[in-house]
Amino acid sequence: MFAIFKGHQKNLLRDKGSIFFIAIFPTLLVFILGTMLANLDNPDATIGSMEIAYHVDSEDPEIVATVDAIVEEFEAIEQLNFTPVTNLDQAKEQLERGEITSLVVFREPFAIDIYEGMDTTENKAVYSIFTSVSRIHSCISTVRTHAIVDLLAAAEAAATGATAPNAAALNAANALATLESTDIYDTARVEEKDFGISRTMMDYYAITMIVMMFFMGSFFSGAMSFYEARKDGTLRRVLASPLNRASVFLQYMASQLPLNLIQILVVMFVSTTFFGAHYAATWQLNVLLFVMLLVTGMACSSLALILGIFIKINPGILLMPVIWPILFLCGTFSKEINIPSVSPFLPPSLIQQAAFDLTLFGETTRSLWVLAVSAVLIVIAALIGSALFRKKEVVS
Amino acid sequence: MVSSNGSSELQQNAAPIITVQNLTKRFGDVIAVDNLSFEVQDGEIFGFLGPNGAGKSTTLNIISSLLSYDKGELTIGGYHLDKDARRIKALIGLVPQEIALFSNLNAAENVAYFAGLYGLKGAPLKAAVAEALVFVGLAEHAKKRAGKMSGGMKRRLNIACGIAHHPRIIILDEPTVGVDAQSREHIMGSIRTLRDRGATIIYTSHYMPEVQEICDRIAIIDHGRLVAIGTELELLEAVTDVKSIVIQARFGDEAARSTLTEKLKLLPDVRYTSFNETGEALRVDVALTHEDITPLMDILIAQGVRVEALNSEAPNLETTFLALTGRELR
Repeated sequence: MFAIFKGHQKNLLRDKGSIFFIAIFPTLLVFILGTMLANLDNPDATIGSMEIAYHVDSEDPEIVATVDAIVEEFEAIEQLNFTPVTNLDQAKEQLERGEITSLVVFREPFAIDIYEGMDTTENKAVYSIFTSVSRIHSCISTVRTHAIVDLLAAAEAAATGATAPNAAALNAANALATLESTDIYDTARVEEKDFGISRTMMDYYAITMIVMMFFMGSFFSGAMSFYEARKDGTLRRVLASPLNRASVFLQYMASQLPLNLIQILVVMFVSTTFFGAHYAATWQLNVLLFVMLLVTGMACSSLALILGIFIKINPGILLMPVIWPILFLCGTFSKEINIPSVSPFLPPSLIQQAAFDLTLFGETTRSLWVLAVSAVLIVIAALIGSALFRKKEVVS
Repeated sequence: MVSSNGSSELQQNAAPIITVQNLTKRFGDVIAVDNLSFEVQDGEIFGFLGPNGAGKSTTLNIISSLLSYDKGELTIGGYHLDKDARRIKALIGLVPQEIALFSNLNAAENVAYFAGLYGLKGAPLKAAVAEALVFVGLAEHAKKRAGKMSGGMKRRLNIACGIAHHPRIIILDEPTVGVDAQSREHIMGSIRTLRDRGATIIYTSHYMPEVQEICDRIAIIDHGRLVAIGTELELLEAVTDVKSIVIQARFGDEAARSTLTEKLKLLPDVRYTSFNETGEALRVDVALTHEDITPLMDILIAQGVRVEALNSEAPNLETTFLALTGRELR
């Protein structure tokens, strides 16, 4: 019963051309793109440890205490070494000699003067650090000002004979409590938003590549299946056998499964093993991703098989002008290509979106829809294909 | 037209296994097969000839259930084609003209693939594969991939794939195209063996000597119509009933030549005699069935003629085909 299926698998796995397209070509593509993308992930500049001299140009104990607190926080970062200086001129000479990265002077009212060092990249880093510090300090000052205003209002209310603390006093107390409990370097929260995975460009391109490859590969292999069988005469022999024609069509359809399976597995394996690509966060989601891609690939192959019943010329001539523009419009070849009224609604885009939802956000809704629609398409293709295959004079 | 009832003993005793009556097939406005009727007897090798585009492939495709037909009635092995196509398919083994093999499968796997389509599996399948490979002389190459075989070996494997399931009817479409003399001989021998084992064979070829050599009966079709059908002799007789024997010798003077002519005319199968202009070549037209030239030689010797060369110019299937269709087969 499975004579066609078994024979095709053996023939496929021994055919150098097929092996190239289903295994070697994807591997090469992953290696080429992986190497290119790995360079994109490389830093443009590396900042080592930075020696920052600082000076507090204020007698205000609040400012001194604030600066001490800031420095203490920053020193938790290994790269940053803060050294208090009293002699600014000496510090500036050290700066010119490149002995320190930069000189920071804290002045009243919380103004920061930054003296640049020799390295422009390190200068930018110091700027960004103290710009954020300045902004945070500004926010804190605003909240504190409001809290003090509220406290004064509460004191005034008490002085005028009010017995219970009013709303202003409560707001002030809450604001101060919030300030106390706020950790401005709460790194745990930042990491949580990334699902604990450090993403690389490969994560995105691996999905794009899989979709591109199976969309193109599945369509081609499906359409080529009958074309090749017609060309080498084996279809004629198969159809001359007493095997039910519907069964013949279904076996040809099933023969597409290993091809899709190998293609997806190869890209996933190579991108993960050699380029550290990440897919979904859990194995369950990864299984869903794999099944979705496999079923979608089968849907493409099945639809192309129906096409193969009708066309007797090389399917590549017909499919290339259709598939390439579709992939192009989906932004597969360049992320700059995106036509809002077209691109998001093309099948490869929908599949990619579903895959990204799954891998980046753990969202399964779209992938389940894609899976369901693909499964329905397979059933429809099986029914229509079998019926057509029985009626149509496939060999003339 | 020559009668469809051939004169050989085989045909007289056999019953038709294929009956085609008034078969018509159109492709749009083109009539590929036009009211074609013929019978193939059980156990015979039936030659099916026609120029390119004559409708022979269409007819064979219809018999193999690969094509539908517009009109007519086909009975194969007692089954009607329009009702029992699958049963009929099980009776037939198709050996197509093109080498229809999987180049990445070895010989045994190829045969197993196609035999498996006919429901064979397990031990019977293995036995059938082994038997088919032995039959075509490829047993030693069972593990060799088809893609690495020579043209002749591929041809033989092509045949093995079509006969492994022991079909009652074997359609051989140009089975010797592009093979060397050794493989051709092997294939021809194999076809005879298949016939001797009881299979009915429909054989097409462009190579007339092969058809003459192997076929019990021959049908010639052109423009979708049957032009002639019968044994080789019946077809030749349809065009002419004589063959010529040309003798080159020193026949002597005119009187000697005249005496010789008179004596030769007394032989029962001699129809006509004539000398060429120089008087050095004598043409004797004899009945097509005439095989024994001893009486003719006896007369020549008795007349003291020293024979230098003797050639038989018999009409052959190729000239007959040309006469019937007005076209060469190639």
